[in-house]
Amino acid sequence: MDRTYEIAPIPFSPTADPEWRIEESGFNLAREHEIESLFAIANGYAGSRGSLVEGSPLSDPATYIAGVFDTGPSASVPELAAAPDWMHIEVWVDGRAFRLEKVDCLYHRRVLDLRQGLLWREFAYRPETGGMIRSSGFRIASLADRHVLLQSMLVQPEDHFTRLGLRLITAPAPDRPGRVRLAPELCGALPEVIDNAPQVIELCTRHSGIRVAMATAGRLWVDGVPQRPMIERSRERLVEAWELDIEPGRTYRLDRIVVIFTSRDHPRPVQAALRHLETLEGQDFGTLVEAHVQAFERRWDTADVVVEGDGDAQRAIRFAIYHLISAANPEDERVSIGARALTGGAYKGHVFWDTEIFMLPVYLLTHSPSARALLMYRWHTLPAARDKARQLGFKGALYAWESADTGEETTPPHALALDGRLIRILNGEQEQHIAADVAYAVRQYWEATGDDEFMLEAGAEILIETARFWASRGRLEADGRYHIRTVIGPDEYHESVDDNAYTNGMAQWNLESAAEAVARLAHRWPARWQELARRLGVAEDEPAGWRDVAGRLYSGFDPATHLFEQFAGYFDLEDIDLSAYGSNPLPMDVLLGAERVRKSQVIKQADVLMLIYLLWDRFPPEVREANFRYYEPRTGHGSSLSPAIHAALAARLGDLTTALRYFRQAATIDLADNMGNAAGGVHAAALGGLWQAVIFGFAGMRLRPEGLAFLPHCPPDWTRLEFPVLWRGTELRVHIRPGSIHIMAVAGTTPVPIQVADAPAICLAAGESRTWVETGGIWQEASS
Amino acid sequence: MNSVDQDLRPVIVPLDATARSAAILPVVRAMLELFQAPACIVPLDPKAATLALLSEKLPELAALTISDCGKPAADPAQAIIHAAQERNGRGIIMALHADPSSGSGLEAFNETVLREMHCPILLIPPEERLAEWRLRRVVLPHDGSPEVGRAIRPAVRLAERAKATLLVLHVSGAGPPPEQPGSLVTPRYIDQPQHEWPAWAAEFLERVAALCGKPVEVPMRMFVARGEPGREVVRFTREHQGDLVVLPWHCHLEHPHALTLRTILHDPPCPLVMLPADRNSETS
Repeated sequence: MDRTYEIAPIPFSPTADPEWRIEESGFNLAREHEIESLFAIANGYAGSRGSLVEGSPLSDPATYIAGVFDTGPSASVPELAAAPDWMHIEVWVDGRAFRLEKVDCLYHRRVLDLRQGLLWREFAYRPETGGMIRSSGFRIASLADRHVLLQSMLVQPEDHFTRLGLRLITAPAPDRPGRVRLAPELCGALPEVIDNAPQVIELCTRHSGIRVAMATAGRLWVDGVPQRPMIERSRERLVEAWELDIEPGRTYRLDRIVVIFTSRDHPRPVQAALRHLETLEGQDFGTLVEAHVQAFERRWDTADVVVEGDGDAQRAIRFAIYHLISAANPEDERVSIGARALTGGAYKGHVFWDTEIFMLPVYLLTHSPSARALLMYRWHTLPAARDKARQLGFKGALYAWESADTGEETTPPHALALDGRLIRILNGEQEQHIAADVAYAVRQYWEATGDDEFMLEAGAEILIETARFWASRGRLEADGRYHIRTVIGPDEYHESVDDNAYTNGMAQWNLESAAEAVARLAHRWPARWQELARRLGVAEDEPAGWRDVAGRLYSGFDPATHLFEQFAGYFDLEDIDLSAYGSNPLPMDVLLGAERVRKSQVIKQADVLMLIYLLWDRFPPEVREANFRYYEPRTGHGSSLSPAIHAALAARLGDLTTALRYFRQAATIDLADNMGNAAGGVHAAALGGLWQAVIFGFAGMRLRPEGLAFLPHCPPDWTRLEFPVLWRGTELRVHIRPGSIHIMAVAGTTPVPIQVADAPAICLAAGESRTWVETGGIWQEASS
Repeated sequence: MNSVDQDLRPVIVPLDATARSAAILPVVRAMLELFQAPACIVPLDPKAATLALLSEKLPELAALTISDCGKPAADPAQAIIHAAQERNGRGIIMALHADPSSGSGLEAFNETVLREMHCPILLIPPEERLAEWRLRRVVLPHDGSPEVGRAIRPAVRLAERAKATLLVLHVSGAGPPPEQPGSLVTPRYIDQPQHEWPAWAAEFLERVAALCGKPVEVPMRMFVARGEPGREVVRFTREHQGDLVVLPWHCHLEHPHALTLRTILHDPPCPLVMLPADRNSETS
């Protein structure tokens, strides 16, 4: 690791390896919101956008705290409330505030250091009065202590300046149209302790009753000697200020420790924050930073994916993993990850199927406590899911298409299209596949971790309640088949459709999987199963009923063509040749109009193909191939979730040209901002999808109840693909090179069954390794 | 047409003694009032080559604040250009002289002035309803590039002075999107329209406002259309009763440049102001 401790004035510097850095040089005001999203720092508890500390006309310095939702005066659904801006630093030189867009800047560079999890900035400028000042610094959301945020800034004058002013400001987030934000005036009476503690402010939500305390301590070191700040304090604003003459050759370093507690995690957040800050103030600042860097390093040890031979792919996959490490909090099982994680206000922090289907596999195989916490969120929100099913006239549990803190449905019922039309949003009622998506993640977690306690405590209940939903949702009709009518599948261009192949296929899987899990629980833990069955009122013959519905659920599969019909009547729709539109970057519903697309076979994202992808081993090769060749040319990829899944599928099918094309498309969704909307936050699910494209696509890894399977199809330029996998507590290292795969069990107590292609399965115990080589398309174990 | 309130430079107003010149005077008057600027009248008609003679033919001139009068010339375009250069004119307001057979849809003298003068130019098509013209709705076609964002600053300030509403129109689907870093075009992925569109519209308007250099103090509304930009701008402006269309441009009228502008000039829905976009100010 490239860490330079010897730069004395500031305890850390960014890694020099370009494959661990995302860099932005210069300053383009128009890009500022995108940069803020991409360069956000977070630790799953809190996340802060990568805003300029001094602000700019287009800065949006927001901090979000997971689970702190509120409803604004004019909003219909809750959203993440913007927490106070703790990053603001005013720098005054000769009575003028430094603003990047107004000065003669000699250089300006921001670096997102993926390895160390820090945002670095360095610049030099000439003040109007002459001379030159250099500055550098960093910002961290501590992964070692999630309540802590750290900031450091070094000022190095090249000339003498009188009256340098430094002001660390902590204040409510800037007011923006439509923004919900924490505010001090919503807290009512001030806690007495605040009067005696000038370094803390308390802010509250308007409706959800959450209190948030932010305590801050700034220190200015001049040649290593601390300087006391002047403190200006009001109820809503806290300022720590210094004013001094500065001289060349001396170092001026500003450190800031910020502590956040909320009433979600402590009954008296102000006291908790102050106490915690007091403890931290007794420690060396560098020690706090080092603890964070080490915590990040530990996460990379079980998460890093090495792609040798393709620098862009390498950087993109690390960028994805960085943001996913930053998004999760294994210590809080009452929050999940929103569509934009904690990097921006878009999507209001709402949780979709994105989390379970696109992001969760990353945690499942690299940091299972994070995966567990995310699934526990779904268990805690089961009451709301039961209510939703009941309100729609069904049994069991139907998860909200969009959920916030309670799990209640938070999909906005209407939206104003930009042509002025008011559109009714039906996803909250009709996009019901999310019930099976959550169940799928539960089952996947159980198989990958062997966490029986989770299953007995929570997972089984989710499987049972979602199976009950599907059993009541399907209707037995005259043809002797169960049908699921009036739904929206992943292809959201077609609403109110009947027998969507993905929905029905996943429902069928959910029903069968729940029945199978129940049988296994009853066999292995009869007493605990009896207790659970009694609590949930599971009749002895209920699982048989689930199997019956599953067995007779309409699938839309035609054995003659091997094709699934995406929904009833799909094949009768207009078949539009999308290749005629070339590489037009517009979504097809914008290009052709929503109505024409609705009446056509153009689809938004993987739908039938998503089913094939998730339940890969259920389908024979000719079915996978036929459906990919049929649906891929009809997919407009109007969703950011689509390209990565197509990359994974094409890779599994051995079509590397197509796979790489989709992989590149997925890799640039945020990094190239080729969709124009990274400004509201990174696309967390697309980042998870990118990881899946590498691991489940190019490496061809699949999770099976009995172990792991591999069938690599890597791009020819990838000279090495290496990654760790955690399977039931055993850590594996997978090394793939052209024509070979080497797997080593590094540590753990559970031997891992592994099968590479059609070679005989083996079992790998800790300390053991095996190599397989490919000759003429046949994989064989090298040592056999 | 600077945003400096104390700017006393005149606005160049070429006129002849025809009904077409008479028709544009309500717009000229309103614009001069908004800018609190005097007019420098450039006579285009040799038979009415002085202000006095022109005033006889156009009695509405009496309502204008006029600083002086330019010299007539055999070539009207050169007269306008000379006056604008000599007086450092804030901009030019002139009648749109249509010529459907030309590539630009303009008569040669209009075209020459546009090509030669890199200052704001307001072209006024002859319309009956100009008599009651007021600036209430300003249509801002915007391709999402920072360059256009900066170019429209004067128009935003103009809307503020008139307390007009800004209707920002982004047209997508025809040509390739702008490639400048910081451009914001119709998003390629609309994961959930209930979130994506409001967020995107807010972002678009924020960038428009930020690139204007100071907060925008009039209502702004965002619209998206798809199709050929020129036709969509004309359709949209008529549908929304726009009073002024703001068109940033690169001072090239010939094919293949300025396709949108040329389409609009062939069928102008209302007065058009053309603002030069500066390619050199993309980043700092």
